[in-house]
Amino acid sequence: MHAKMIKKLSPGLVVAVVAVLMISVPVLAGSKPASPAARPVLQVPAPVTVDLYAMQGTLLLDGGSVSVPIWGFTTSATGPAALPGPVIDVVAGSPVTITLTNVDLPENVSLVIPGMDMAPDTTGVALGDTATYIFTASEPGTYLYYSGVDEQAQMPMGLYGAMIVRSTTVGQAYDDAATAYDEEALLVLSEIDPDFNEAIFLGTYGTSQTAFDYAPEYWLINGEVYPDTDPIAATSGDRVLVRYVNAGSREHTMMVLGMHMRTYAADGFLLPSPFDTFSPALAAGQTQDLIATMPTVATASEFPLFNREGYLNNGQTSPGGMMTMLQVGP
Amino acid sequence: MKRLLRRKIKLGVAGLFVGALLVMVLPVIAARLQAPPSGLGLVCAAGGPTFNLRAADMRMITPDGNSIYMWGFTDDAGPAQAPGPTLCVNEGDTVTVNLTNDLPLPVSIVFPGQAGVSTSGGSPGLFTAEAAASGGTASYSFVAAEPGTYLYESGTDTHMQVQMGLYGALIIRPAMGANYAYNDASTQFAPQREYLLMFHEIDPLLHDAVEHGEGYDARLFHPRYYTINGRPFPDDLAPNDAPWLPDQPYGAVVSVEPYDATTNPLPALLRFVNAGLDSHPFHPHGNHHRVIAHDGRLLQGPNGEDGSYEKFTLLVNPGQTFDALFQWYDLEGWNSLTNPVPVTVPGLQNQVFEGSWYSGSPYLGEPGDLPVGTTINNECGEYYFMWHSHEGQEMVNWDEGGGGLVDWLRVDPPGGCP
Repeated sequence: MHAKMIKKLSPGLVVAVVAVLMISVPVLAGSKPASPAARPVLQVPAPVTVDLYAMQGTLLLDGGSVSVPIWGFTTSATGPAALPGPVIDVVAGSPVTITLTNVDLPENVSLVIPGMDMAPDTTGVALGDTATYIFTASEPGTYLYYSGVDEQAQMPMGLYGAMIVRSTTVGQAYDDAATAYDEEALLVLSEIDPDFNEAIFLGTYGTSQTAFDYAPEYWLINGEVYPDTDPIAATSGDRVLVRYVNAGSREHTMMVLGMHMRTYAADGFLLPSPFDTFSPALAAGQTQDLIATMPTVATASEFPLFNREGYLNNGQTSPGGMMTMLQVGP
Repeated sequence: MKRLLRRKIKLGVAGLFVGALLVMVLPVIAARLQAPPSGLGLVCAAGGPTFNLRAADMRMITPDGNSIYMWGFTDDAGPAQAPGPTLCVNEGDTVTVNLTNDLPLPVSIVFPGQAGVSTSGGSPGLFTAEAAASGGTASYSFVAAEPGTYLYESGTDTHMQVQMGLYGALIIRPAMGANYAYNDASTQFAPQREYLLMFHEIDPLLHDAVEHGEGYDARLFHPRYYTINGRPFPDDLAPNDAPWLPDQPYGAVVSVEPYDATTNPLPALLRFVNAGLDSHPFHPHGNHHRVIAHDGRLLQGPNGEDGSYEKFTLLVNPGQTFDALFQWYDLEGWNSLTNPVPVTVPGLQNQVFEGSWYSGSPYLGEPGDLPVGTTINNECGEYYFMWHSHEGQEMVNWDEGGGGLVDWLRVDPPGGCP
């Protein structure tokens, strides 16, 4: 399933990262992490090629009790379709080539990445065809990618994912030492309306269901509903970077208990004045980067992170929905 | 509201008379600037920093004659209140809230924005310790480390229990003093000009289902009432502790007098809290207010620079709080003697009013003539502005316009109404 704790690094960078960990371990153990100035380890941009496939699939929710037809991206030509799609993870400045193959979707599919310096494609490619997108991921940040064709239908079906562009300084969200972090979590927020997806799957969308009838019943973090959402594990004093991506069609305000988080960036743009909040609000399509210093705890403690619009149900039952826990150990 | 006799002001004679009066009463006016109309403004619950709260039920009254089953907190033996009691404490206090639960389901209290909340008693719930149904107890304790505007609410089945009414405001006053919002001189506000504006929505059909033990289907949430401080418009215009709203004790009218560098230099403080499940774009119509803090944290640049900004529409999302400073400037200085409005006011026979907050004249502090039979709500020539959610569908009481998330700003003439 989709891990919330991200430590994705291309093979060439593993050595650099391992070196960082080895150097930092004596400082990290039993104390606050080293300041950014003590670990100026750099990672370099390099050409990246990602082969994406858009295909039909099935999403299982709530322990498998709910099965919903989806369309999703995957890096495997044989699938399965993933919701959300695979994380595209590159270092800022990298030339990126993405090929997108429409495996079996009955309509065109494309790739759009707001904030990325690439021409938006709202035409896409038909079943069996492949599109190629070439651009440079010049700015660090957290981004949303999705199909730009028939968005009001294809996004609820699941054609979205997150893209992370990393600062050349390891362990910083942006080219600003204030955005240094110890742990990182990616939270892609979205919704599922089973009837809506069923209508698209059956081809009755436009008659039995339209975008007007979109009425989500399931509220997802990284493609799961509580209690299947992954917790975020951290240690007292850790600076935890939370990358929010709202791939849904609703606003989502994610309240956290027991702490404030500091909003450093929105839509991949570093804010001139970061601000503290316990209730960051993500409009549909927005991304935000927040960093919170984990409280000091005597014993393993859980801090709820949950949707304050009240989307905490799985269909008719609750607790469920868009909720997880920050699990902080001493 | 007091009925007011209409007064006719004859310009010539009145000019001399008013001039003489002003000379005599100026010292009195200056002293009266700190006396807003009675029954308005933020009310703190008695006691603290230890509070004993009960989770109970009650029936809320709506302006369209409805009676809605509600849950809520209360600090006395009677029915619940909406919103719960406003808890006011000082920076550094150890706050203890002892909860007794008289409702038929477990409840709890969480304190968003507070760090280091410890609990005792109760049994572990998903978010925090829960007080068992029908008489169970639990206690919560934390140090009020950071001044600001916060909320407290149920941490059990939050989407259902907060919607039912289990919410309230928490105010932490800074060490600098009770007439500062934060430990910064720029956050000083005028004494007695502190206002809580707490938003919430109500789906009466879901409340009905809960009252009759039919469960709660969150998918059906469809609010029909929108409240400020637990009251839909126009009930929020009534003063605090209005006897005909026994379980909705807080009014929402904001009252100021015009800014004056010497006699009235300090702003009013507006404390916004959204305890609902929808976002609300609050619009201080005709005015800006200066947003100085969010979620209990002063807005500042990276080096402590002033990070405040002016808004004429402030989007408050569920669970969020904002603090804003507000001053009203008499920019035009209309005065019937020295600076009259350069238009001809239509004769009374050409004016129609349906219930009047208008004084009958455009001059602050100078009521004019109104047609015979007009219901007069204006006291002494004060101005009223309609402040409201800018989502039109929230300005209703069960789909009937003229309700919902609407409030008055009241600008009294210098010195206030007699």
